[in-house]
Formats: sequence, C-alpha cells, structure tokens
Amino acid sequence: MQKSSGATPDGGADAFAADLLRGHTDTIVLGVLRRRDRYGFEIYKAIRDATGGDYEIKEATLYAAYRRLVKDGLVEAYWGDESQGGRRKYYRITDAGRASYRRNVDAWVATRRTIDSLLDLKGSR
Amino acid sequence: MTNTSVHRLLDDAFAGLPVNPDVQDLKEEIRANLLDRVAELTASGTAPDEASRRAVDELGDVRALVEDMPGATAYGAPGGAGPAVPSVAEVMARHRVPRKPSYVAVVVLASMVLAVSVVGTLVAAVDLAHGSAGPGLPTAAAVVAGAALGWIVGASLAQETTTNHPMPAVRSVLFGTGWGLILAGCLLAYVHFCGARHMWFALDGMALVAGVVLLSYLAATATNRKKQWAVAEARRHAEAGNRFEEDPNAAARFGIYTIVVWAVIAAAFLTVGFAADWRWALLPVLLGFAAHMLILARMLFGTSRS
Repeated sequence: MQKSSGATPDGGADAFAADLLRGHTDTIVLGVLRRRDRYGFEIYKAIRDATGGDYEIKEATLYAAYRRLVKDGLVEAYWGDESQGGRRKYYRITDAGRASYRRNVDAWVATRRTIDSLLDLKGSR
Repeated sequence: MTNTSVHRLLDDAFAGLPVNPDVQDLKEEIRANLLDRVAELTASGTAPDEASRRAVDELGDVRALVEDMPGATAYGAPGGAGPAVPSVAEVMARHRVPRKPSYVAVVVLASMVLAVSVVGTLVAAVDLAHGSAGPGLPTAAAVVAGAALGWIVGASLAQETTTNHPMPAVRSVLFGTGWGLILAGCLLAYVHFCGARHMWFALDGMALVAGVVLLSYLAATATNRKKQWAVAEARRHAEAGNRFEEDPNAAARFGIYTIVVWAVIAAAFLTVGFAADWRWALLPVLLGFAAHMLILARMLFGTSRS
C-alpha cells in the first residue's frame, strides 16, 4: 500500500537521491549528533524532518550505522534512565567522531564541486 | 492494547534469531524507538493497531541487520569467541511477563471470598435442612460464590502470561459467566435439596445448562484469528480482493438491498402469521434469508463490471 521496500522504480530521481543519502548515512548521523546526544527515534525524526519527509532512511539502515560508528569509536552509546516504558539508548559523538565528520564534510564539499562541474561539462541539462 | 501489539510484532520480527546479549540489546533499543513512533502515529490520528503495524513495517529488515552482526551467525557456534547460547531457563526469564500486583491482590481476595462463601453455603444448607435457618443465607452465599469464581476465571484469562496471549475481554467475561453459572447452579441445587424445595431444581438446572452451553460455545468458537500472525495472514488474503472494500458503491447498494429484503420479510411474516397460521410464518423468513445470502454471494463474488 505504501512505498514498498527499496527497488520500486517510482521515479529514477527519487532512487538516485535515496542512494546518495544512504551513502552518507554515517556522516549524516554524526552531523545530527553534533549538537547534543540523541536516541534512535530522535535521530530518525531529525533526518526525516530535514529531508521534508521525502526520502527517509530506513530505520534498519540507521541501526546498522550506529553499530558501525560505535565499533569505529566515532560514537559512544549509553542507556538512558527512563523509568517509564522502554529504556532509550543514547548516542554521543566522540572527538574522533567530530574529526571524522569534518573530514567527510570537506570531502563532500570538494566532491560536490567536482560533480557539479562534471555534470555541467557534459551539458546534460 | 497498543503496547501489547507493538511488543508482539517486535517479538515476531525477532523470532528465530539467535538470542544473545547483542541481539537483545538491539531489540530493547528498537523497542523504545518503536514505542515513540507509535505514540507519534497515534497522536496524528492513526488507530493503535495500525500504528503498531506501520511502525514495525517502517523498521525494515531486522534479520539482515542481525546477521551482519559479528558473532551472531546462528545458534550453536561451538567454542571460540561466539557468545554462549543461553539456556531455556534464561530465555524464559528474559521473556517472562510479570503479574500485575493489583491482579494478584484482588485474586487472592476473591479466592478467600470464594472459599468462605462455598463453605458458608454448605453449612447454611445443613442448617436449613435442620430447620434452624431460612433459605436466604445459603442462597445469597451460593450466588456470591458463583460471582467470585466467575470473576477469578474471567480476570485470569484476560491476563497475558509468559506463554499465552491475553484473552479478549468479551470472551473472558463469558468464560467467567459460564463457570460462575455452573458453580452457582450446583450450590443452589444442593441448597434446594437440603431445603426440600424441589420445584426450584428447574431454575438450578437451567443455570447449570446455560453455563455448560456457554462453555461449549466458547470451546467451539476458540480461534487464532486475533493473534498477530493470523492477522498478518488475513491481511495477505484480503489483498486478493474484497469487492466491498474496492467498491464502496457496491457496499452501499448491498446495505439498501438488505434493508428492503428484511422489511419485506417482516411484512410477509406478520401478514402470513395474522392471516393464515403462525406455523407458516417462518417460511417467508426462510425464503427471505436465502434470498439475502444469494444477493450477498452475488455481490461479493459476482463478475465485476468495469
């Protein structure tokens, strides 16, 4: 009924944008965590709101990203002390994480410039 | 309700995956996030069950996520760095559904009421047989005993346990009523036997039969269709197509047909009953019912015009 998983070709542009986003999941998560510690749903919501709800990153993708980030020491996880309902697992960005974020952002800015100029050179649109 | 549904779906999503601390950790993390997402969906007006289902759907493939985790390949993984396989007792402990303290307290209280009222009935019935007491006390005690047993049965069935889904409220109330009627019927029969009031046996017998019929009905209609896996299965079947859902006009037309058919049936029933004989009055009802079912079948499964 709603958008089914992944491969439905409901517009090549959408799939292209979603792919691009997914490729930067780790950096996006680091960026969301830069201001303050957050738990999974907050991160998910922040990303969803930032994209205007058009391209959502699947939650499973996010959980995989958290694991990767924790393993690489870019993010630390700790359990919150909510007494009601489920306990939330919060993520905090480490110094290594901030460094990695800055490096990736620089790389993205450089790549974006290159791609922009490459696409212009090709003259497609 | 909401919570039960989310937890069930989450359990389903994790069913068959190896149980180890890492996976459990992930599951608890996902659980808290799901609850938030469900709260958000319900706040925007989605029905609780639908909200739970959507939240879990949005989750994506948990299985792939777990299989990517190091050291979580499968059960077994003997020796090495793989996490120890938990014993059955550990799994049970982890999935244990704790009893509500209020439920335990009230059931203990109801059990004491039950014991006292059963004993009270029997003692008072003996007094009644000796003529040293009236029939009011044992009758009241028997009714209280029936109510207490009914309450215990109903409340217990409505509880979720480690191994069982909670029974729907209506069914647990009916189960409680059934057992209550049976106990009250037996006790009252004993009271009336001691008091030599044999004409009352008819009423006691009726209570007893009603209880047995009720329990038989419940046993015959026991079903899995409310459980999450059955609901999911039904949804897959429903996608094959239900005319009334696809075509609201057909549903509206069927509603009008239904009203007309049953109005005609009622008129025919009364006419035949008054004009001829009430024994024949059931015939138009039968014919009308058959016509109604034929219309239903034709509208649901008939060839749809495009």
